[in-house]
Amino acid sequence: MEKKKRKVLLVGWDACDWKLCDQLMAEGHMPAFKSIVDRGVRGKIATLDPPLSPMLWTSMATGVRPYKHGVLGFVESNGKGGIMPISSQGRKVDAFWNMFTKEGLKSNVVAWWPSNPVESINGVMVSNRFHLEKDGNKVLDAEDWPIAPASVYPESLAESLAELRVHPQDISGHLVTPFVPRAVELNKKESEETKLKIIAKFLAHSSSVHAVTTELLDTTEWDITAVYHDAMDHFCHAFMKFHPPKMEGMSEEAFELYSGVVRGAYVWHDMMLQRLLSQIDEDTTVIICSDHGFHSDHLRPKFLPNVPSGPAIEHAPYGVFVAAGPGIKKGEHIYGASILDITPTLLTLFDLPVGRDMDGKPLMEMYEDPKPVKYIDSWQNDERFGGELVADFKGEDAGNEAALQQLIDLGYINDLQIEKGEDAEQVSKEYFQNTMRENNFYLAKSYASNGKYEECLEIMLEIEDRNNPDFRYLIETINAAIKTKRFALAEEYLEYFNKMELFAPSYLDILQAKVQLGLNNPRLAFKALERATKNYPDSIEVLVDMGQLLNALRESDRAMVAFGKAIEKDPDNPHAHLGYGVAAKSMEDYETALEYFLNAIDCIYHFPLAHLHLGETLALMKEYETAKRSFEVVIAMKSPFIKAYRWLYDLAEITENEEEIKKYKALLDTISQGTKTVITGLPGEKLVRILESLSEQGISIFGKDDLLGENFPQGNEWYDDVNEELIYVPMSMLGSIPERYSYRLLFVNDNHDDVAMYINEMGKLRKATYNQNLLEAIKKQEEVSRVWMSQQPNLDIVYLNRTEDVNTDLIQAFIS
Amino acid sequence: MSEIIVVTGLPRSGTSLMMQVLNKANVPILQDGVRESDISNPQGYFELEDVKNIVADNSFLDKAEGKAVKIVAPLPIYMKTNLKYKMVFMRRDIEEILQSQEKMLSKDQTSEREKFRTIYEFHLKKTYRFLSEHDIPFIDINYNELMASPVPTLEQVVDFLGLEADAESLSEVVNPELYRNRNEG
Repeated sequence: MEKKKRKVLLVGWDACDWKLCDQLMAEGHMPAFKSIVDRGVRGKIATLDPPLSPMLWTSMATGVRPYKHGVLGFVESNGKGGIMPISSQGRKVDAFWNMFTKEGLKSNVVAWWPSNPVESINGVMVSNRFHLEKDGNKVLDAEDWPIAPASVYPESLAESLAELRVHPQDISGHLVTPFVPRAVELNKKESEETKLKIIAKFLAHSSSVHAVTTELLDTTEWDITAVYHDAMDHFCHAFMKFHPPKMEGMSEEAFELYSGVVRGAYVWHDMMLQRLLSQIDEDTTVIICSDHGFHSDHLRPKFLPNVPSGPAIEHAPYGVFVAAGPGIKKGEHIYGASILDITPTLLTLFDLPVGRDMDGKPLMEMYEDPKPVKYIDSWQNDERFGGELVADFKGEDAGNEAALQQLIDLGYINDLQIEKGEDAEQVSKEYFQNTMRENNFYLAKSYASNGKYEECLEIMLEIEDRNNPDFRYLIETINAAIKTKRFALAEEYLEYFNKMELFAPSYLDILQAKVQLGLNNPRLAFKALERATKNYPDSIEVLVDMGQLLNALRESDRAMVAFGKAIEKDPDNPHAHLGYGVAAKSMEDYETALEYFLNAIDCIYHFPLAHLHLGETLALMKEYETAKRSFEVVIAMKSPFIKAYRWLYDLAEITENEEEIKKYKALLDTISQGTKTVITGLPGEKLVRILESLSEQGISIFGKDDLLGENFPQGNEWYDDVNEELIYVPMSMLGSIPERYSYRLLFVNDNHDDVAMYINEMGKLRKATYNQNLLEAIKKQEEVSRVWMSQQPNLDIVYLNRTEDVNTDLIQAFIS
Repeated sequence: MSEIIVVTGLPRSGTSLMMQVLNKANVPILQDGVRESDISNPQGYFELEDVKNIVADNSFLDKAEGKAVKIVAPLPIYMKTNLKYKMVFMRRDIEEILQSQEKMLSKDQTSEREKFRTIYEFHLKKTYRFLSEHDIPFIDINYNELMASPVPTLEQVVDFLGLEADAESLSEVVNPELYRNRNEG
């Protein structure tokens, strides 16, 4: 029997969240959605930062991050000094409908954001402006309601599809009743009318999108039909605050009236889905996904910041992913999906190659019997016709006003307001500049979210303007400065921040702590941290930052407490899980570490650092084969961690795999910058004597006169310029040696009492501090270092117990 | 000589001075004289107004063959990539550049020193990346060395550009008076 042709229905529900889906499925209110979950795979899908829908849905449709696809924010320049809603003109790379057109497959694409002007693809494209009923802020009458230009391809379908649109005026009070049971009664009260009109508008828009989709499913030939609904996100932004449990400060009356709206929106989407499912057969693959979730519980923000895109803080970092169809597993969970994975996955459904330049990966674990993935360098190099824009909107106002007004209404962009007596031209110019500045901010954030902090910082320094300060920009700048180890720059900004009183001092303290840690001032870091936690005990972000700092300071117990609290408040926080695991790992509790690293990866799969820690933990547990797979994932993610190669080399040696020994040795030789010899130990007379003895033998030693490390250089770039044969690294700084080198490490063992005596004699501490606390601190420092050393793949360690040991052949050979 | 000679570098790193040297060496200069000499650069800037608009329109380069033009960093990244260039890259200690700029703008920017330092670091990096990606030959000229020992430094420029000029006579252009914002500390 001939294999049936693959057909795919892709349904996008903006902001759909598992918490509500699971609740409503359990109550029997989302039967259509449940039917797909039951006969397919489900998983959380990670969003990208910043979580702004046009950027996210374009990443979904292209498989690449915003800094590659070019769609940034909600608006773009109209080419004549003004702005227009973000359009498909800004997209720099192929979307899946272009790839399918090149392959001769037919696509129906409905309302994707952004998709105006439409493209001449093989199939039908209806844009996200097709159903808008406004001209500027004026509502058009249902009787005289032209469709936005270039919103339907082929043009010949425009008239018939336009007939299917539903105007908000057509939504009567009764239709709103399922959402607000007292709608009819309320409609008489002017004060509540606005909210009901909003519901009517969202219903009309989604009905129009739905009607076009059902029409195209029935009347066209297609390989893929993709529909995007923004209504769930809009319903949530407008009504989640009324959703149970009642939020603090919400009036009883408002709660009673609107507490069912969000729930109604989910049920409404399920009803639409039910209809679509009735139009396809069981052989059609169905994928339902969202671009992010939406906080519906105690994580709902209590207020929205008054900044552009402020409402986006209501978004939760994980959305839904469900897939069902021939060859797809049933009733199983998949892990680590990202919105970047949708397009690569769609390509594999049609056995088409995935672009190596894509940031996403195909979700192969959803298949019962996965085939090897085909790859090409880039779909951009494929010169076959993939469709082109049917119009050039730059400089034209056609249809833009309505869509702009929609964005203003939703709170995503500020309106241009010219007060009496103001220079209109100047105000417009500033409005334009600020809007474009905001887009560049999103671009910088997009870089930062993929670890590209240099690129982020470069943009931030260009757009940050002290005459027009914005705390978000300053925080991003300081973070990027810290990440790129430009601590003096970070300090300069912190001083400015402090002077301007732009942000709560407690947040400043967190940033200050990070800077001080970077500057090797752990004590100052600690103080700043303690001030911050006093004022900000409940912030998840602060808890995670604090935990990370404590981990860096090797205060594993306290780090665990901080991460534990963060996880309690937000069980889906990957950084909190990772941090908890790191703390457990440094305490040699590998079972716990393993559990938390797996949690972190479950939250977000594209997290190379978590895979690296997972691999290390597995290796330390002697699970060599599984560890190997983790390190291979780290390398596949193109992360900068050379350590993964070192571990693979070590594992090959342990498992005596000659072929891999050769392979990784060769790879390491090309990546690694060579070997350095380091000497460390607790600062005491023995260390002094050993260093002297080595010096007398003519061996040059970097840092030998600074045993306590008071002037130890910042960062680790300086290692490249050290000409001395031996580098003295204080034990407390051992963790900062760069992983780009291999090390021969001389470790001087000494008696803790003697070390305490030496520290005391150096006059660094008052007499009273020569006590049990100092001994404890010394003991802990040594323990932490030993654990750390035992977990590194690039150290070859020799222990020195006596001064005379330096004369042994072994040590001499080791140094030379 | 068919290449376009581009003098680049951060503002206040001796780009105008190098233009004066080239002028003295009888290299035709692409300039419009819009920005006349002032107290910060008494002998003139040798600038072309079109350069400021290079992001939107770089067609002025079509007329630049065999001539010298000053394009401060990072603007060279907007140059046409199908033309042939030789670049003289003026380098000066960033601390001195910042002081010189502050003096010129009569503005105390000490609270933003790190910010500008980093921005300039990016501008230099970007410009060098562009030169290496497009295989554009360039020579680094250190402003301080040029001031301290003009003749040998200018000999390098003469050699690199293949000028028919004598470094000794060109060195007359280098006016020690200009080296007044030097960081003595």
